[in-house]
Parts: sequence; C-alpha cells; structure tokens
Amino acid sequence: MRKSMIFLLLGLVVMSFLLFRVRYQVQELEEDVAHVERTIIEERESIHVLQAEWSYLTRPARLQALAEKHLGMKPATYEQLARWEDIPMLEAEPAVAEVPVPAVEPQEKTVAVVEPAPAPVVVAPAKKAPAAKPPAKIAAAKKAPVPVVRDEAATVWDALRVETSASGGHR
Amino acid sequence: MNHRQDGLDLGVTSPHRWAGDRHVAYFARMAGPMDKAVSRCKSRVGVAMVFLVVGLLFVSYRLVDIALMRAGQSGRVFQVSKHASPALGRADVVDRNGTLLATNLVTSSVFANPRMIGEPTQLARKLVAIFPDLSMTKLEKQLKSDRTFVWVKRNITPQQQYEVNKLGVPGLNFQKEEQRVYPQGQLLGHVLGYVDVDNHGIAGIEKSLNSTLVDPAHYAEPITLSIDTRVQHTMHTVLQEGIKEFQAKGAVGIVLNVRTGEVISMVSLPDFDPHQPNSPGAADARFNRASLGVYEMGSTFKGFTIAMALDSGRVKMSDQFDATQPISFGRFKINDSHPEHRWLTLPEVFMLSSNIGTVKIVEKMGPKKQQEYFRQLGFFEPVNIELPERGAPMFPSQWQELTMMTTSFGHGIAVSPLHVVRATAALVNGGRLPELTLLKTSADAMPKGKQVVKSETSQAMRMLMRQVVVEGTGKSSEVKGYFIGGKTGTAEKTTSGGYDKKALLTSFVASFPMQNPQYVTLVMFDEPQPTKKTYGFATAGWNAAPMTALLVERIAPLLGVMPLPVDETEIIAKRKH
Repeated sequence: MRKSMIFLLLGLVVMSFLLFRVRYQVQELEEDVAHVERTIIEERESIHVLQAEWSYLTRPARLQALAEKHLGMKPATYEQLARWEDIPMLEAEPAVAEVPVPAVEPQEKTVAVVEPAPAPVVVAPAKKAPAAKPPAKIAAAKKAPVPVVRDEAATVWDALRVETSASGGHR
Repeated sequence: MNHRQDGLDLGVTSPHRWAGDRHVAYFARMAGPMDKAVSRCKSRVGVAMVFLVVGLLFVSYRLVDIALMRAGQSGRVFQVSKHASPALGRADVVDRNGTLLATNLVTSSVFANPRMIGEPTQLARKLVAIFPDLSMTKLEKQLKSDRTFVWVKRNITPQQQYEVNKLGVPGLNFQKEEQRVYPQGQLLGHVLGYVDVDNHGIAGIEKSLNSTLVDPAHYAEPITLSIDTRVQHTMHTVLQEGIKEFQAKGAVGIVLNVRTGEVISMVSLPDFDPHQPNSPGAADARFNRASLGVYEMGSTFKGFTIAMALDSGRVKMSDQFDATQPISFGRFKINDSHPEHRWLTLPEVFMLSSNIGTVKIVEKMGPKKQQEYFRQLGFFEPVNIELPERGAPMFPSQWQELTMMTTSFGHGIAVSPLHVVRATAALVNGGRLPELTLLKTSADAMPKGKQVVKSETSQAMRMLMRQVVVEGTGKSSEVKGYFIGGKTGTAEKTTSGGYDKKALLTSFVASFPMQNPQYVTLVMFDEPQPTKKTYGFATAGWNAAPMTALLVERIAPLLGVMPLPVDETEIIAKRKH
C-alpha cells in the first residue's frame, strides 16, 4: 500500500513538474513570437523608407543625367528601333553541290579544288505572298521588287524596304 | 494456531508458522475496539489516495491536452498586418508602372513644455542653432510663456533629432508624426497636389481623393494613377527645352490615351516643389495651366469646325471655298495670316489653316448647329477629371453670327487645353468622346464614350490631320515611322481692348500613328518669341510642332507604339538632329 502510494505521489510530482515546464516553455515561445513580430514591423517600416528612397534615386531626371554623363547615352531614334517581325530570318541553306570524294588518293600535282557555289543571302521578296494592300494613307509603292543583297545594303531598313513594300506589312 | 486472546497482537509471531494464512490472521485480528480506529485511518488514507489519483489523472489529462490537442490552434498570437508597408494614416500613390509618387514617412516633431524650462533664452539660442529657420524672438517668447505645450518644429530629420536629444533638456519631447513625401519631386506637382501640415489634401489628387486616401480600408493599397512618370519626364524636358529656346513664359503638355481617356502625362510649366508649395513666387507656378487655365486656343478649333460640317453633311471633301478676299462683318475684318487669294478646297482650308475658308464653311452650318456640336464636344462645361482645379469655359451668352464666325477658328471662346485634347481624341478615335481620368483603367472598364461624330467623319479627319503634317502647316512635326497627324494653332492673346499681335499662344495638337491612333498629344507655349532659327516667326509651326516631333520620337517606344517601316521618298523629312 505504502509503495503504491509513494509511487503515485512521485508520479504526481513528476507530472506537475512536466506540466509547468511545458507552460513556461509556451510562455517563452510566445514572448519570442511577439519579439519577432515587432522586428517584422520594424523591418517593414525600413523597407517602406527604402522604397521611398528608391523612387527618389530612380527619378527619370537623375537617371538621364547619370546616363548621359557616365555612359554617353542619348534618346533612341527611329533607326535604332525595330520590330521582331521585321528581322529577316535565315532562309534554309540552299543546296550546296556535293563535293565528290576522289576515288584515288589525291596526288600533289593534281589537287582538284572544288569550291561550293557562293550562296549570298538574298532577301527574296518572291517568297512572300503579296499580302494586304497598303492603307490609303501611304502612297502605294508601285515599283517592282528588286532583290537587294544584304551585304550591300547600307542599313537594315534599306534591305527591308523591298520586302515591306511588297508585303505592305505593318500591324 | 496459538494466538493470543487479547487481540493486541497485530503482527504475526512467527512467519514460519503463519505463512500460509497470514492475511487471514491479520484481518481476523481486526475484530476489536482498536480495529475500528485502524479501519477509519485506513479509509482516510484510501480517500487521500483517491484524491491523489484523481489529481494525477487530471494533471496527465491536461498535459496530454496541451501537448496534443491544442497543436492546431494559434492561441494568443497577435496578428501582424499582411500588407507590405506599415499601416500609416494615408495611402500611397503610385504611377501606372508602380513607381512610388507619394507616401507617408514617419518623422519626429519636437515640442516643448515651457513650464519645465528653466532657461528659455539659452535654450532658444541652442534650438535656433539646430533649426536655423526658426525665429529667435518668437521662440523665446513661446518658451517664456505659461503654456504646457508648444511646437518647436515639426517633421525634423533624424540628424536634427539626434542633436536635440543631445541637448538633454527635460522640457523638450518628441512626438511621432507622419509627413507626406513626394519622391519624384517637382515632376508631378500639379497632378498630385500637396497636403497641409496635418496631412489633409489641399490641391490636386491629394484633395480630390482625400477621403479615399484616408479610408482605413484602403490604407495598404496604393492608388494607381494613369500617369507614366517616364512620359511625364520626357514631356517636362521637351517643354523646358522649348521654353529655353523660344523664351516662352510658360508651357503646357498633355498626352492622352484615345481609347481609355487615361491621361498619361500632364505638365504645366512653370512648376513648383510640392514640399514647399508656399515658397515665394510659387503662386504662378501652382496654377495648373493644363486644366484650370482657359484660353482662346485658336486654329486648333478649325478641326472641330470642319468635323462638324462634314458630319452634318453640309459640306463634302470636294467642296471649294472662296478665300480670295477677307471677310468684313461690321467693323470686324477676318483675314488669313498667309492669304492665298484663291479658291481653296476643303482639305486645303485645313492644311493651310485659312480663317476665311473656315468661316465660309461654318456659314453653311449656322450658329445653332454649331452650338449643338460644341455642346456635344463638351466645350460648355468643365472637363470631368479627378482634380479640383478644373477651368470652366468662357463663351458669349448670346451666340450670334459674329460669334459663330470667330469661334469657328477658335477665338471668342476660351477653353482649357484638356477640352481641346479630349475633343481631338473624339475626332480621331472613331467619333466617341472619351471620359478623362487620372486613374489607371483598362479599356474594358471604361464606359464607352458618347458618339459625337460619325466614324466616317473620324476617318476623314484623320486623313486631313495627316495632310497637315505632310503638306500643311505642321510639316516640322513629322517623325519618320510614326505617321503623326495634327493641327497647329496660333492664337493672339487678348489684352484690354483687343488682341495683342506680339503675345501669342501657340499650340500643336497631334495624334499618332494616324492609321490607328493610340494617343493624342498637345504642346502649347505661352508667348514664344521669334528666333533667328525660326526666321523671325513665332507661329505654332515653328515652335510647338517641332517640339511635338521631339516628344513623339521619345515617348512612342515608351508607350509601346513601334515605328512603322516607311518608304523614305514619300516623307518630307525636315528633322534636324
């Protein structure tokens, strides 16, 4: 009887000890949470101030002055802008005449030099379907499309001039 | 078994002998007077045991409960606001791209309790050393007074706060306050407006949307404007260049989205610093010339006259008008600035900006019909926009024949630049008058504007406006690839008793790209001067139009309008780089 009583008493003491320990741990954790939340608020205030400062430092006037001074930049002009659709894509490689493999090992004197036919990349308006007629505002360009070899075009726009006048392309 | 008869012997005498029935013997010995006491004692112990067990069970139940059952609940965790910025007393304002335009920052304000201050003069001297703009005499008087609360300085910088703290005077104290800060500075002074010292809006958007800005439900969400800061800056730069080059007194620039009515940019020069709205000389700068000022806009009205004439069917594109002689009406004479002395077709009247031709056109309409169209185009009421500064148009109460003539080319009626931009948008976007707004809106959210002219009329106007730039008075506004169309306007400002030939108000209203207009721009200069480069001319084609070219070239990529490929031979390119 005594032993079981002592046992139970001991158990009670241990349980109470554990209970209060848990309670205090929870209290400590709650304090930690409150502390972290206060820190979050402080950080958010700092972020807010930094956002205002960011907006101030990225004012267009300031950026323009800096870009002009340190990078030598100027506003972009028409010649520097292009649309994705206007970039001429590479045509499929035109078939190159196959170089025949010599049956006999070539001798020094009789080396046959076979050059592949030069294949300039040509802007080929003929491939484009004659598309929508140009709008009434622009005088229709009536001249026949002339293939312009890209190497000789002065600017991208020259090379495109033919293509776009043939297709009347614009969005 | 030999046990004693007296019952006192509670134990066993010999374990060996009683081993088998020890318990029996134990309980058998209870029968006696002592046994009752013993049993009572034992039952009390038992009760105590029960209590202990119950207590133990309860404690273990609580333990289990706390450890396992409450795992999901949050208990007393306090809620931190989900929003990114702390809940301040006023919502932020951002532009259409999210750039912060106006926000509250927490600052400190210094106040004093004069009763607690022992040496007011010395303290006043020290404070004036930290805050040079405070008046020594006034501060001294306040500190010597008998009050308990006196502001020393509001919204001080952290550095100043440190210095005041370092003084170590118990009578001084800090209070946290919020100050409205405009990171973009002067750029949006007219649009945003400003607040007074207690953060109440007293001008611009701050005033008109004041109730929304302080509404607790909206604190954390910024108010998004339709303004694009980059376009605003470009417009500002271009107008500043123009003012410098042409020695103008002021300028106005507006960019409007024709479909949604969103104001992308609104600049009025001179402008001011919204942090110091009351600095000396700022009264003129605070005046919003774009929305509040009303002016006789001049020839930009010819577009409206021709549009209404075409729309009503009274004239056709192929009609011709006699512009050989000036028109006399009583003591008034109406003449062209560059008389052609011949008959002009309708497109020529517009391209060459002929006053005589325009009057001949409007005569076919009659004053009543003209008035009706003006009303439809919104020229008789202030423009509905989210600003308190909206100018009411001025026009004669009696609309007689002379009024009809003069208003046909933009004199005798004064409207704000916003009116002109809105009506031009109606002419180019298919005929619907848009509702202007300073808040970012998508095209579907905007209510469809009222149809004021037919869409065929709009198409005709687009072609005519394009011709002004290709062949007419607006040649210098041409930019390769953007197909600008527009109308110049050179108006003489009124002085006492007439018009001042030397004081001009020049404007150029433009739209691009003319095949499918997206935006309308207006550039206006107040009293531009002739220069050597302009060969002594100060008309719109020499200042407002070339500035528009500069503007459009820079803002079109920002607005997502890509240049269209052009055939160079057809454009008369007179741009100088």
